[in-house]
Amino acid sequence: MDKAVLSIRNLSKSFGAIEASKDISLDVRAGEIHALIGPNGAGKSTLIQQIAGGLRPDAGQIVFQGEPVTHLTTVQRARLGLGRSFQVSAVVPDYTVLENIMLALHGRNRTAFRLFSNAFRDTALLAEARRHAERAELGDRLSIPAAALAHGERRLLELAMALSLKPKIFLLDEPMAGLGNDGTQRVTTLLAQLKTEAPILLVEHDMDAVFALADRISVLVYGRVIATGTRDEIRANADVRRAYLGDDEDAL
Amino acid sequence: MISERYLNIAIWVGVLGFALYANFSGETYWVTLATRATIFAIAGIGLNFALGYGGLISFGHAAFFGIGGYAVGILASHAQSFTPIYDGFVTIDGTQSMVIAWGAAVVAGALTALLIGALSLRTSGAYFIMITLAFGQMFYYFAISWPAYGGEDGISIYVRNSFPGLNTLVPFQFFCLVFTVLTIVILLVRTMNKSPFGLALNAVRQMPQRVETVGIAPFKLRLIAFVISGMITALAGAMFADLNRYVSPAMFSWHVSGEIMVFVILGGVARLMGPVIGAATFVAFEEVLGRQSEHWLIYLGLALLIIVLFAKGGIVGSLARRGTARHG
Repeated sequence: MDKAVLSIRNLSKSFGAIEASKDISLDVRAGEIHALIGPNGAGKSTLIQQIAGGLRPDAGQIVFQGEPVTHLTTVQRARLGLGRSFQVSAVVPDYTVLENIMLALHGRNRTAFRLFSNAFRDTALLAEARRHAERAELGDRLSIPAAALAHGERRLLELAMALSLKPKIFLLDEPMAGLGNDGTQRVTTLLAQLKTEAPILLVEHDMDAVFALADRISVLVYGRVIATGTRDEIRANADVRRAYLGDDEDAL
Repeated sequence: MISERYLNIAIWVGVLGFALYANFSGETYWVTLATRATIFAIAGIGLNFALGYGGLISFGHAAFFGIGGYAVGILASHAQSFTPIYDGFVTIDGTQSMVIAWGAAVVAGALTALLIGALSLRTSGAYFIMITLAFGQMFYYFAISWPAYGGEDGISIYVRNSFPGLNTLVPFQFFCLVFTVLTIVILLVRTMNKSPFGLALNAVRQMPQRVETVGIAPFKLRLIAFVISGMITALAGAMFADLNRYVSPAMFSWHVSGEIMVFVILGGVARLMGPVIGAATFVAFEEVLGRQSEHWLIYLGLALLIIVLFAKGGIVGSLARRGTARHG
């Protein structure tokens, strides 16, 4: 078995009386896509925020590449190689596709505090930015401001920014949200390639995509992981059927 | 609509042309007005760096303007009375040299901004506005109650400080010096805005969570921007002290913070030359309407209201389309 790149151990988080995460443990192993599914309000976003650094857990640990990162800030975790994409696109609206990707590259290279050099003079870096854009099928949209992109293109820009960080793990929060069939297909193809570069923790609602892509799936219900397993194991799991899918036998 | 680049050049040429015309037609008073506008422009450029690019609405920039002024005033007062500022292990004397005094003003501005920024940048939104205002007022009341340097009366500088190779008492020569500093500041700000730092700073204003996610700390970005901003405004305060040959606690008052903000909003927030045209317009209003009525601020308020309601990009924004893409 491959070793875990990211391990979440006994993570708990409450907001007043609401327990958003209850003793959650899961691993993301090298080379895999680990999908996190669950009905609305199951606590998927809360979990992602705790992993990325926006929220501090009440108890438990997050171990990334063998090191505990629970007490690190979002910025420190990003620098260690957590590549996150947001559920609601959080690209810089006034910036073009190229500018957004260049921002990510300067962040990754730690050149963002250079005051007197031109951000766009390094031709090697510009070429790299174009390559990342092309991978996300945005190669011909480089000079379009993010605010003027179509919804699907903005989702792709989210991915392009995450992959330009060359992260050690991808944390993708519903990358297919609001995409049509065609868009979902394109993202599915891209994610299948990406997992060879770094494992992916994928939060996704689109079941077709999840079952097409995921090596393993964890099911989160009311803040608790009720099952983790391969596609077939999850399909066959009675708890999952009852809790998450209702009685609709055909859903999986 | 013209390109912002040409408008910027036109503004620069306009200020210089006005001063040249005034000088050669013997109107030294107008030269002094142009100098005043140029100094205000620098103060505005300082604020614009934090407010326009960084999205930090500081209502306390009078603190930096005043610190710059007092640095010059204190150094000059000791030079005038031949008393050292500090006489212990080492002796620090006052100075009438602009180069040294302005340098000291910039350093003092940086340290003040570092202190105010490190504390205020933990807040945001309306709280940030109020805490910067509070810091500004703290400096104001401190200056009033500091008898060693004139208290409420301020400090008079009997002879304008000197600059190598210039007779700074000649208004046009002093204008040329101040205008050269303005030009250098504009070029520096333009360079910084196009740098990786500028790219990250303008991003943090719009989408801080994204900046964090790519591994850049928003607090550090904002603090550096605030310090640079404070340094530039302190430099303007130093030159203002030399222009008037007088500093007073009024330089620290919140009215000054408000005026600096007016330069920026009138001219165009986050526009390179916005504060320059804004400050020039302000001084023109003050001069032309101030002669008609002591209530000229009503008309300025009206102009400001129209700008804010109908021209979001200020004067620059309503005359020029947005500059080309950042990498253009």
